Amino acid sequence: MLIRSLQFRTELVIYTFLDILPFFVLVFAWQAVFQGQETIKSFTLPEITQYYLLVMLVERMTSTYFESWRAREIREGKIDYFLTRPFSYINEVFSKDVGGKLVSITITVPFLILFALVINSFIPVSTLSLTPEKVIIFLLFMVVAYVMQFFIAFWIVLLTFWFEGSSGIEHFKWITVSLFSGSMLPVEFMPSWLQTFYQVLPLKFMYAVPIRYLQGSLELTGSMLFQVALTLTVMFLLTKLFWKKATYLYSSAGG
Amino acid sequence: MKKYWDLFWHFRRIQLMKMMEYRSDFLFWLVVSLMWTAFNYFFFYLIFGNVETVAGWTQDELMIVLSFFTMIDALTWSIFWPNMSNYTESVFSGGLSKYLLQPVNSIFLLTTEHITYHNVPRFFIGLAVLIATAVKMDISVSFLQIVLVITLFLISFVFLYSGWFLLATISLWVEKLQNINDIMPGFRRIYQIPRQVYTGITSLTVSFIFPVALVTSLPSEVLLGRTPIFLCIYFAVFTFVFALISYFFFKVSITKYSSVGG
Repeated sequence: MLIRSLQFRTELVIYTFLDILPFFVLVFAWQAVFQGQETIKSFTLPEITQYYLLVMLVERMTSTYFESWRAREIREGKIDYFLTRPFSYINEVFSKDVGGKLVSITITVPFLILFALVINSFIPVSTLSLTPEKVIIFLLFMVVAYVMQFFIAFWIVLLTFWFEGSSGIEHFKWITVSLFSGSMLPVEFMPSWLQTFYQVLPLKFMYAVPIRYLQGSLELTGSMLFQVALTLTVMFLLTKLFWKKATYLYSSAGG
Repeated sequence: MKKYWDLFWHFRRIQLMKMMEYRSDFLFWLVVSLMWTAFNYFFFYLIFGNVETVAGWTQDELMIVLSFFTMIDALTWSIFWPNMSNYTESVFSGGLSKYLLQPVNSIFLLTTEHITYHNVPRFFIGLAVLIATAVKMDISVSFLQIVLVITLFLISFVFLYSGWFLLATISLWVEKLQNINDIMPGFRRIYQIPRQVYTGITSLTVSFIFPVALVTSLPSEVLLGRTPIFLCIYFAVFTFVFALISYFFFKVSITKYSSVGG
């Protein structure tokens, strides 16, 4: 996997460039917004910049992109192999995606951290005060965020069993996650009606909660951890149920 | 010429039929497209809603930039994306031979064969918001201004097309570069906001060296009655040269192509 990834170095460079570009545009946009103002909604410009740097890092570490090609795989009837073997399709998708994700993290995250350090010389960015405990909890949140992303992405793949094609559905995920996870902008900038959804939905554990925790502006509570555990359990059970229902619908032809 | 005209509409019909093959998918994409449009407006409303002016642009003026962006974006996803994806895929799979052997201009075929329709409403939403904002702001535009706005919009279209085509043509020089078509959509972010937002070396880069920031800013500025005449001429000349480079690059690159078909 690593060798294959390195084989396509140029692709990785392009992906990294595409990750960084929106960040730069956002920084310029926020710089223009902060013109002549020290703070907006309790945020300073260096804090906002730091927030978006962390969003970029979290995105690289947790997001999944297998929906379209896995959906196509199902649509074209190529999953028979996994239905007749003692290795489930979910395991296949999960193990391959985790493998790919680890390789991607190994290659791009050090680069992003280096980028964050370099960018600090040109753009004012708040300094993080890190402790080992904070870093470990942040990394655990990354695992949680990845698993949540995986489940949602897998549900999208499974929708292929019901719909002729589901390639558009992944965009619902991107929009929903952007709106309610805090990846689009910090919760303080959201209107109150959106904040209500944000508080109720567990998507905030993907971006806003780990980022604000790492920034030192959020204390973790027992109810939050309970919400995380409950979310993961419900998502897991739903995935199992969803898969069971989906396989009843599946039919393929071939020899 | 008539042959090309007929072919163009024939392709449109085929694509419509193909799209209707997966009706639920088409409807989903339609909804998705509308959601992205709403999302874009909402996102910038949230960011720029915190202040009265951003880099000298008022809220309503920013809405005009965003409307031009929405319209350009609709065309980007409807025309550029499917055709350029098909172009690079055909290079990697060896299917490009099909286009080179036809008694029709291969660039015409590569550029017009595909289209997606679910972004069409997006274009009209952008246009509607543009008109509504102009009416709200009580902008009085002369006939010349309208002509200039439309011309700049078309120049922007050609500029983006040339950039995309040039990048897609690079696929003829490399062994495998799947995400080459993600580069131009990546640049969309730059022209989503006015060019004045960028400062320093970045401003120089995105307004002169590779003037992608002018794509939406120039038509907006002309509509608002503050025509930067030098930039308009510069953008037009740059685009013309850029289109020529893109064309000649294709002509040179195509000699590198070796089909894998039998």
